[in-house]
Amino acid sequence: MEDNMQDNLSQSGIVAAPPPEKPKGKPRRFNCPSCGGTITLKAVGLSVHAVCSSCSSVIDTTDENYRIIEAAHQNTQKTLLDIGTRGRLKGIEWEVIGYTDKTDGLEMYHWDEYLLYNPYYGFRFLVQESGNWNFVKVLRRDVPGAGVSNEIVFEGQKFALFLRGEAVVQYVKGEFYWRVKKGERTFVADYIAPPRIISVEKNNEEINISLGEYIEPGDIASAFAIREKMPDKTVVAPNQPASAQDGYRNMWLVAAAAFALVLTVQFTTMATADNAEVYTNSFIVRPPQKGQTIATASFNIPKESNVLIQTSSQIDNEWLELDLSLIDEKTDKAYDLKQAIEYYHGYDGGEHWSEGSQSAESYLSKVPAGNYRLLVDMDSGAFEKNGGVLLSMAIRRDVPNWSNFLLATASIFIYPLFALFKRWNFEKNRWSESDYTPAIYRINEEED
Amino acid sequence: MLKIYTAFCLLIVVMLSLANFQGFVLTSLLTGEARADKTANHYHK
Repeated sequence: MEDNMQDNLSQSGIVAAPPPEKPKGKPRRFNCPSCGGTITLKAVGLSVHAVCSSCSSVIDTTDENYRIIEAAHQNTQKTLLDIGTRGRLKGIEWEVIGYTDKTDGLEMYHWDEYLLYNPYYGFRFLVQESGNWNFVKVLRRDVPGAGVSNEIVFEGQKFALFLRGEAVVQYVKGEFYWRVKKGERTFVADYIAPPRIISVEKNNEEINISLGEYIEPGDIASAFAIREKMPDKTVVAPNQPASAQDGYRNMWLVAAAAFALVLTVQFTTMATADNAEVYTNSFIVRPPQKGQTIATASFNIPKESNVLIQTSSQIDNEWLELDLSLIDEKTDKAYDLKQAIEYYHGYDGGEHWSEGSQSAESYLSKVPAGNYRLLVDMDSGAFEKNGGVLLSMAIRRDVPNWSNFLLATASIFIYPLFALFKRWNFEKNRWSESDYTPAIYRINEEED
Repeated sequence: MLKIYTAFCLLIVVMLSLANFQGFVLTSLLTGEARADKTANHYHK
């Protein structure tokens, strides 16, 4: 996972493989013209703007007299990563040099943006919202349709529009390579292709497009040696990858292979089954025989196999119940089962209807080889009505059936289907925060 | 997890093969099949 992210970031230019030439200039210290506190400028020659960590005054670092742009306006806000904190992320050491706290236009959603700096690699951002983190680099090229279209393509990958809105700066500290101040508003649009996200920020003067990649909070905690509890994830992030994507794909491959094997076993069984009839007969049961047990003639089952007992009767708007016992003549072992035949029909409300059937069938498993008889106890409402009941019976052995196959297939697919539902639910939660939810994830919204 | 699932699938395939080979039918469990020793004297020849 880490390697894949590294590769993706490298391809995107977020992590450059060979280090570029280090820019000239050492960190410069100067005193805040407002409170006298010491300010250390890390990105000398690049930063245009610093916020005093002591009094929060905003200072123009391009002015040789360190002109105050904005006087102290607020108390210093505690942040998870302090200015000056260093950490190794994606194999490169970064230092936190700036922080902005932003909200949407309605101040419903808050997020933190940490500006990172490395003298060889320049600037990156770490963005934290609702416990989810992104490692972000500003792109130095245009992405056609960004901010306007509902879908954009970057490096051959499609990114779907997730949100359009406004970002408002609520708090700043540290130094910045652009001029930033509290209350500044920008138009924002986010496009996602998890785990990547493209963000567009636009104001009257400029447009910035950046590429971010999702990072697990644990990786941030390790990189910057954060000992405090990381913010809990409270929502699915727009570009949060579903867990174990490769495993999920491979699971369906395994399921497909297993299903192919199950099909092969089933068709082989069907092709090689004897499916032989060992007994067949029809007889009429008269009312005096009601309550008596009828025994069939002896028949032979040559080897252990399943047995299918099929019965049928031409009953009409009547019922028939059968207690059957297959008896091994040598061992007297009995295999008992019940069958019910019910068939009703009529004409009601201008329509013909019918229910039930005039036949029934039952399987017996693993019946050993031997000579057998079938005992039949029968009761039926047709005895009184018709003066007798015609019963037809057929017994077959080694009959192909589908029930084992269906159980095996259900067993194979139950877990992948559960995982599929879980994934759908994950995506539904992701898109629940968006105004551009694809139709497939909108089911509950319409009910609400 | 994938290894466990793969092993489970193989087990299912083996069980299906054995069940089909030995003549075991799942639906026989649903039709109330019961095995009990009886004497053949109970039936009328």
